[in-house]
Amino acid sequence: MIFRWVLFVLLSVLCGSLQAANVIQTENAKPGNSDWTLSNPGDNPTVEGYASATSVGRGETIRFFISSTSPTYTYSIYRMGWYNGAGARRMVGPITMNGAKRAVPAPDANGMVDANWPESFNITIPNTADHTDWASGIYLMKLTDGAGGPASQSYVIFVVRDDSSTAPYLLQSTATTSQAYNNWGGKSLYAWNSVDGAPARKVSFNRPYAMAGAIYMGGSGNFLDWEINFLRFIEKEGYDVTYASNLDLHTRGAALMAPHKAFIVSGHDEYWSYEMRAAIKQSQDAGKHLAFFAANEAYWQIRFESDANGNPNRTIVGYKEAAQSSDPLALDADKSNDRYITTRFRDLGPVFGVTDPVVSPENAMVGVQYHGDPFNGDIVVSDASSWVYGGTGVVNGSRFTGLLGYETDAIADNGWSPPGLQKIADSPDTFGGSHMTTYTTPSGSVVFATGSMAWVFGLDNFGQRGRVSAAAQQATRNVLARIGTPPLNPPTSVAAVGGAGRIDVSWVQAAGATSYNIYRGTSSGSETLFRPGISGGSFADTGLAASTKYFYRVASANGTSESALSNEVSATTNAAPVETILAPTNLSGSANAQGQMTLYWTPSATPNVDKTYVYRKFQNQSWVIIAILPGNASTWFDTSGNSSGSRYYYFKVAAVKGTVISPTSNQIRID
Amino acid sequence: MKYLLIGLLVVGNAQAQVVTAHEHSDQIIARESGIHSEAWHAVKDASGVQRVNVECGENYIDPPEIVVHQGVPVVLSVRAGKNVTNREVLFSNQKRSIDKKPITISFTPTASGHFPLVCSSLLDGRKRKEGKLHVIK
Repeated sequence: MIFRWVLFVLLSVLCGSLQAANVIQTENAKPGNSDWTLSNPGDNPTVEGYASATSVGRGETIRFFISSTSPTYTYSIYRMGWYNGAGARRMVGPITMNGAKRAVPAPDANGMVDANWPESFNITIPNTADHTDWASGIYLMKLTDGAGGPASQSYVIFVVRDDSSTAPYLLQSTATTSQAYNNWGGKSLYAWNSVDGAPARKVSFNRPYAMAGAIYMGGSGNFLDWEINFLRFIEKEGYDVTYASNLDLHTRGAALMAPHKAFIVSGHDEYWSYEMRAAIKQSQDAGKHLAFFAANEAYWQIRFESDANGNPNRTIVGYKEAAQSSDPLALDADKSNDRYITTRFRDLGPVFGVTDPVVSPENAMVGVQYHGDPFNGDIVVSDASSWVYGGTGVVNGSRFTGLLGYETDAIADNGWSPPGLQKIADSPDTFGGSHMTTYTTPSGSVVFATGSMAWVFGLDNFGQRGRVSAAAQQATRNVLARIGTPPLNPPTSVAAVGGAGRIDVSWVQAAGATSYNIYRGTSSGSETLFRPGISGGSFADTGLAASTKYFYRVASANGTSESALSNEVSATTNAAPVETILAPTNLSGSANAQGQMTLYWTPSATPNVDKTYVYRKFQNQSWVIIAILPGNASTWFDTSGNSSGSRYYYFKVAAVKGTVISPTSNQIRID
Repeated sequence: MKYLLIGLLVVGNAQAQVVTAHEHSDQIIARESGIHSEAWHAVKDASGVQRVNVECGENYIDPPEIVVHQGVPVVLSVRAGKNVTNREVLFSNQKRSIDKKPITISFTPTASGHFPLVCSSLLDGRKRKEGKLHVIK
């Protein structure tokens, strides 16, 4: 019996441990393979290819299109992660294939180069019960020319999705930005790397990614520039993350985010469709969080078209600077489609007159927006009290060395900054200063933006940049902790009632909140954190000056997160009460033979009387104060001796406290 | 073509260094040409004019960099940003007050080079944001 109990406990502990390990943790505990890197990359690799989709779901098939100058080539497929420093795990390969050289078509009238090669092979991603079997992630297919030699290798990049995942975090692969910059075949969406300095207005996913940088990125788009550093960090730390490409956000909309809590991008995420912006807006309204460890976010709007074979979303349309003169949607008479014009999001309203709930400059979503490049410098902390910096040890003026650049974003005073936007870093650059920000929507959507592409270099040292920062890592953990929790709404029905030296603030508590933070100010909109950690649904602000108006907002908190601020309420404390000073009583008096008068009375019963007034009236004239006695006096002797003959006087007294004068005593006549 | 050749040349050099050089080709080109990758490259419309929309904000000029071709007429359509008042735009020898309704600055560049395009405060000339207009051949 005891043995059975011990066995039960052991199995329970074991099962508990297994349940506690998420897909990423389990996957990264598997053996890695460091041979994923290319030893012979080049601008014109002898073997190269592309995939039929930017992402493939578990259980789905993805096709590959390969060109090889040699009769054979090999492919291996790696899942990118940490894997105890190996950086990847080989899922399949090397597998030898027969190859053939495929043509590089000339650009069409739009500058588009669609390789349209025949399919070389395909794979179907297993969809077993074990979700770490071809776990969701970013995958690189390594192609190697069978004949070897220089410039004989390249990658094909794709994402494996797990559409059943409920992981808190969804990391978006920035395929559209990679494709926009890709100049394979001589054309990209940019003049600077397009033949004859004339950019394409359409680019195709049906072509390999040309090598465009120093870190052997042929075939991998921008992945090895920035995203890999962020990916290695979160996979090493075991965050429960699942992956998708931005084509998935475009096609599935807010449904893509429904099972998850936070949407994350890293590096450089410049090209968004209207549908992507709409999906994120809808997700934010549902309380989904956003984290942009990136810059130049959502700068250009793009559309998608099918390729010549009818495969949807294989062509990016981006007229960009030519939108006004060439985009058919700008030239036609149909205003209803103008929201899809492929220009900058910030131009759709002022230049094209688009009014649409989704259409806004990108800072309305991100908090900051692109304002210049290139610049390489430091991120400078400007609000060390922010929750982002908890446990980092930074103070105002601290620097994250080398983590600013090379494109930078800033707060824009264009009227679109989200309410409650907090600037937490203000970093000098040649464009006037870039910013790191956070804000929270009333729906509970927490949004964080680094305003810099280089932040990810502080998280992981892939590329040997030597910029890893413990503070940047901790700040990133803080962001991930906050956006990994359900949205927290501000309290509702907030009210403030003024009283004597106090204002009572009350609210209806929010679900999930364990405490409330009180923000107070003396003018509308000036509230700053006043009292954190208030439990229950009310707060008494006491010890206040009389006749003073205070403004309040209240935020929900739960230990790891804070909601947006509630609506503003205000109240005024009561006016200072007028204290009743009791009058002196029993006034009596007499005159001596010299006409000198002496008055006696019972002092006021009010304590702390400051002084006593003695009033005198000559016959039928007016009362005048003829003496001011210190304190709560009880007698007065008039040495003036001015009572003689038929003259007579009236007297009365009063107590004085502060500016308040008591009623006067009884009056007497002395002849 | 000039840009492409520069890019390929530098990328080729960087390849040998692999992980020791981290500049992108667009960074390298920007450094060498003075024109950044996100600069706004003006496009001729049907009438052969390079039209560019410019917005002056309190703390920005957008686009901050414009590229036009020498010898081709240019029309800059300059407007004030939302909630922005008392601004003026300075270009060449022109100084124009701006408002929500765009004003236009027309010229035909006769020489290549880099020229300032400035949004400034009418009330305080120190509050200015300077953009660049590149004229290329």
